[in-house]
Amino acid sequence: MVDNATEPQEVQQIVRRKKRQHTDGDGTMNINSMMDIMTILLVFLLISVTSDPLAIQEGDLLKLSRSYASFPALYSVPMQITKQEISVDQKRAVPVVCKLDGRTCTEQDYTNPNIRLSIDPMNKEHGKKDSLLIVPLKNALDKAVKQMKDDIANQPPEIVAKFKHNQGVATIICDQGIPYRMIAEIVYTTGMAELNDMRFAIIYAGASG
Amino acid sequence: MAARKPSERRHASSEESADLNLVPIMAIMVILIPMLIYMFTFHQIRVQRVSAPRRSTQTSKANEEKKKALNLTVIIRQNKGFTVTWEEEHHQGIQDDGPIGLWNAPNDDWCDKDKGYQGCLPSDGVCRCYDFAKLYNTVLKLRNNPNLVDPKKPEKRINISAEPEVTWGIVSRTIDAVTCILGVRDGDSSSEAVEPPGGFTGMEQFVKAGPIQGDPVRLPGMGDKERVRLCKPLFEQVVFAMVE
Repeated sequence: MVDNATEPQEVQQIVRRKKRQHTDGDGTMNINSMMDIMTILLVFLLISVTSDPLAIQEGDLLKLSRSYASFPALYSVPMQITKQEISVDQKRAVPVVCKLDGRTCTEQDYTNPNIRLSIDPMNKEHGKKDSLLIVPLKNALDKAVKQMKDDIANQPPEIVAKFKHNQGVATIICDQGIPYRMIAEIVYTTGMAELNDMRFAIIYAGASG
Repeated sequence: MAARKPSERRHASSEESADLNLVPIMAIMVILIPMLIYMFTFHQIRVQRVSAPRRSTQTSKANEEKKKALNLTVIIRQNKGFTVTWEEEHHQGIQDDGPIGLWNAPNDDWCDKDKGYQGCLPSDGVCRCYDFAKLYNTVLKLRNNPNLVDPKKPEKRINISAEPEVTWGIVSRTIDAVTCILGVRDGDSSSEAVEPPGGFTGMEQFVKAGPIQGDPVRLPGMGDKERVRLCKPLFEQVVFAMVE
């Protein structure tokens, strides 16, 4: 009884195996489905890369701090501080002076932990070394704040209400090697440009709880 | 001339029609996609909030007279550690056992450029780390001291200052250590993180810690259905102070 029931199943399996061997031996590949996958992937990547202002490329000049702060980044005035320059809204505002053993840094020196980063006193208020106000940065921030206000003013009321909370916010994308003195100058200058809520971008390192 | 059979015509057309050559397009895709994947950020970007110092007003001065603010300040010293100060009734408080010094790491892996712990630096051939575990224990003890802080109105603000050469990586780790209640999981990764009783025993335990998460909340500017889980706060508001 048992043999009679299993016999047809075995025959079917052999037939299926033969069929599979036959199709495998054909050697053809359907490229159309591959193209579909590639097109979807390409569109997804293009949208992701171009739409996110916080899509940051890390390198020798910019390496973000790792942290477990979980506060989300919102739409605000973006400022980027690398070992080479400070930029506001992706436009260069002030160069950063880099020195190693009294000489100007070369491209290879940026990985050296002994480099000294600072802002040229010429770019500070009255050209004073001790001043906390970085004049070109203040001008760039004023311009960006005005631009943002104008952009929001032309939007429908529901969008205006949503972005009203972000008006005094600056998102600072800062390299982890920037010294505190420079950060203090940037924070002071940002505060002078009516941006009192500063948010430093970090790479989320996860949470335990 | 003999008429062609319909079946012949059908066979002839199928032989003549050529498939679209997709190979060059595939070649472009194969170059473009890895390039975009390289540019794509797989990290989650979040933010640490910091406030700029503000000038006090008449009203805030009046409030201060009612109950003096703790004015807790953490000063980060370059290659030396932390100094914690606060306001007491008639004088300024400072830790009983002096500043929190650096901790000697057991091996050089802690100072590894890629996989090391942010806040550890090689110094005189030894890997030394800022002792965030001790700092956390100190500020937690101060916050829970009923003689300094009213338990009904817990202090929210902490000032952070640093010497000019201290880097942002260390300042950022310090902010982490003073803004959230931290906990560790008990072996099983699915279990809830719990606060270690009596504080962290050392840096080995502290590096395994993470913030204890609160309930999901909706923040200003977020959509109606958007929610985010923030950590249970230790000191919510971080203010940068300048050391003269």
